[in-house]
Amino acid sequence: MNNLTSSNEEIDMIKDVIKDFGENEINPITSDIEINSEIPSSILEKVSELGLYGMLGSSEFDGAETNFSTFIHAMLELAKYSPALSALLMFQNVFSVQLLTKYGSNEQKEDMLNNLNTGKKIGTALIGDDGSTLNIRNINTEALDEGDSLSISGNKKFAFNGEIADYFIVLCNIGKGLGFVVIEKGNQGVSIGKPINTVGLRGNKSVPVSFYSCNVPKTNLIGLPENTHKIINSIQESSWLGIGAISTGVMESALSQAVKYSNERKQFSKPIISFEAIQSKLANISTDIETSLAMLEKVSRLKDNDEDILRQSAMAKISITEMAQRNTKQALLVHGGYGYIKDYPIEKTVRDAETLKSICDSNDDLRLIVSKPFIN
Amino acid sequence: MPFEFSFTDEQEKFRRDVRDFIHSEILPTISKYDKLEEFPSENVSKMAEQGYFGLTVPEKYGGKGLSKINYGILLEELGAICASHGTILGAHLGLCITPIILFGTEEQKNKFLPSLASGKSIGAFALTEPGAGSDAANLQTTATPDGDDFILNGSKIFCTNGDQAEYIVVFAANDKSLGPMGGITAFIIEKNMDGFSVGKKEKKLGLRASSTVELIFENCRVPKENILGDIGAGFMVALSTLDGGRVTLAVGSLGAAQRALDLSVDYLRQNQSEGGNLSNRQSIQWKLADVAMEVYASKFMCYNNLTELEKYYEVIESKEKVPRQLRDRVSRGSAISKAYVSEVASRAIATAIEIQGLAGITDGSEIERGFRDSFIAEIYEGTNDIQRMIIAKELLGLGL
Repeated sequence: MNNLTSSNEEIDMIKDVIKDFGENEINPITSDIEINSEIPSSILEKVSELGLYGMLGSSEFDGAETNFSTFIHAMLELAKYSPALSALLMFQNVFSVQLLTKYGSNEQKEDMLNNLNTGKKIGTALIGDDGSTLNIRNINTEALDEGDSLSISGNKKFAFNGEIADYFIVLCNIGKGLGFVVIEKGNQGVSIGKPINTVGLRGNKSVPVSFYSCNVPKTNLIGLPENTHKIINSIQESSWLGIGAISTGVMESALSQAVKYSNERKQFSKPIISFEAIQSKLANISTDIETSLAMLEKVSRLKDNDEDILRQSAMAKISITEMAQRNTKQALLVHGGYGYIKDYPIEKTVRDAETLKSICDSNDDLRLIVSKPFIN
Repeated sequence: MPFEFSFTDEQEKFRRDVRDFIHSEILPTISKYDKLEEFPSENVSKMAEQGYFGLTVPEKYGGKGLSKINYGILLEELGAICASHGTILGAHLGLCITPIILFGTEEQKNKFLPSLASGKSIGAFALTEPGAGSDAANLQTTATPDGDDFILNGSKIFCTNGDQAEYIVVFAANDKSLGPMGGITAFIIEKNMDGFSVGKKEKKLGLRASSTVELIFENCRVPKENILGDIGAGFMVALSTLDGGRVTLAVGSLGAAQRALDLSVDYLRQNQSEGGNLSNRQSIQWKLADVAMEVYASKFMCYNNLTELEKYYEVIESKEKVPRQLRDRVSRGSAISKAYVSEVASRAIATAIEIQGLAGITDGSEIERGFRDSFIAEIYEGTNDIQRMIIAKELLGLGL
């Protein structure tokens, strides 16, 4: 089955499934994820049953083979309950499943894709040495040609899902240019650093990874070197839009929390929702969610039609993450002092939004992508 | 009279001394207390030895007798390195000691001020209740007369220093039928009074070294000697205290904003020395310039407010009638600077995160803690929505 157009029924169906999963299974353990900085294995098993690890993988290798629009809606819906889990799955789909499905050799697909699509294995791509995807001019991770094999050495500061990853798909200097090389976690010379805890997205642990003369067969190279930039662009446009989707889910969560609180909370003998200042804040959040949805739908449809969406997805990441930062903060302020204490989840929502804005390239760097064609 | 926006040589020296002390003694300990969510007793003792806990208390009661400008400098420097420490000191000096100085009897001053000023006793202030947040006058805690005493019943929430305090200025309704002006009375509660206990301690997004607790009053008998100000005049005690509290919150935010700017500059210089290009990016330069403009404006605003506050408190202390115009000007000014400068600080910190990227949101970085701390300044002592309401209603001549 190869879905080229998204049907609304398919999207509605997956959203219903995720809503049910979120309300019944994620909501009760949200604070556990926060406290332990870990997503429980029971949740991850369920995610596998639902086919969420391999949404963008082909059915030939046990993938769900949904189109990109459906994937984006699924990430958004899941982010309402757990942005950390949504980010984990977004990276799995974009940084390994989609990458190998599109650019892997048959041997690589047969070797890795079934396990990646079902979540038995986790894969992640390491692009810029500094954790960005744009800073690739000075890659100091080197792959030396040693006949049949490559010897990889270098440091990558920030690997998403790195703590649980089995495959690192590493951008290296391969002599004449750049290339992606698959390195397994157990490979000699792989050194995984301490988890980097960020202010938000707790439970989604990134790590620094170092490689010291890691020997891998040349067959671990992904795609032809001339395709490397295409692979990078595919990761960029998909992950930027993915971050936009997760941030939209975060905004939806902020809005529902603020609506609930402002209807329940009474001051001056009436619910605070009856004050225009509160109504305006909620209206602004709701308006920004609509703007985000329109953007996500348009750009993911373009991607399903195989159009180049690099600039549009950069715009989506910039505008949606900045809206999410602003709106989650307003939702916290609606809660007054209660917004600052851990009894209410809104303080977590704010931390998640700030983190999403800060990862996957700075918005200033993305603005340079957007304005590029204006320069004669 | 000319506009003189400058510090005296003594004030400049005071700032240098404060900065040297807190950067060497306090700053290195802060991330530990933030992580453990623990009250920094050791730091409090050290700060008390410097005389900070009685900075504005007249010398005859054991204080340093320094001006509101000095107090501002202290809170600005503390706010730069840690909002929790600034809040601990602000609740003690600004919210507990100040109303005792302004409204206390000579006996009360002699009894409470020396131990508070030395920092041997910590002070606190409790107005907020579950149902009385923004609607601060809607107090449900009652004070029922019983002979010369009052019996307090009810609870307070979000009380800074509440579990550490020896003395707490508490507001309760002595007669709900009279409304806020006439029906609320201020009391000085002592920790060991029967019927008083500390309830839940809040877990918070930030400000984690400062404790925020619930206070419970169950038939707590308070003798008449502990009534602060006149019976029924408690709401004015609260409002006059908060007029000053808000200016000092603003000055703490000013410190946080300046610190975020300094950390951004440090980061960019470091980046440049490592061959990076960030300093030459106009997107970065413009952001930095925006923060610098707002910090510059905030500084004048805060210290101008503190100068007016000094005059305002002198009039209150002298027991003369406070001219309506002066009260309105101080009240509006403090609302303006609290709301404005807290938002300036939040923007400065958001900018620092944009500049630092991943490093700025990683556990253990100063700016990550600053980010979590920053929100409270837009909330406590009246949310910025309440400040906007005060400013607008005062401008339009609408009653509050």
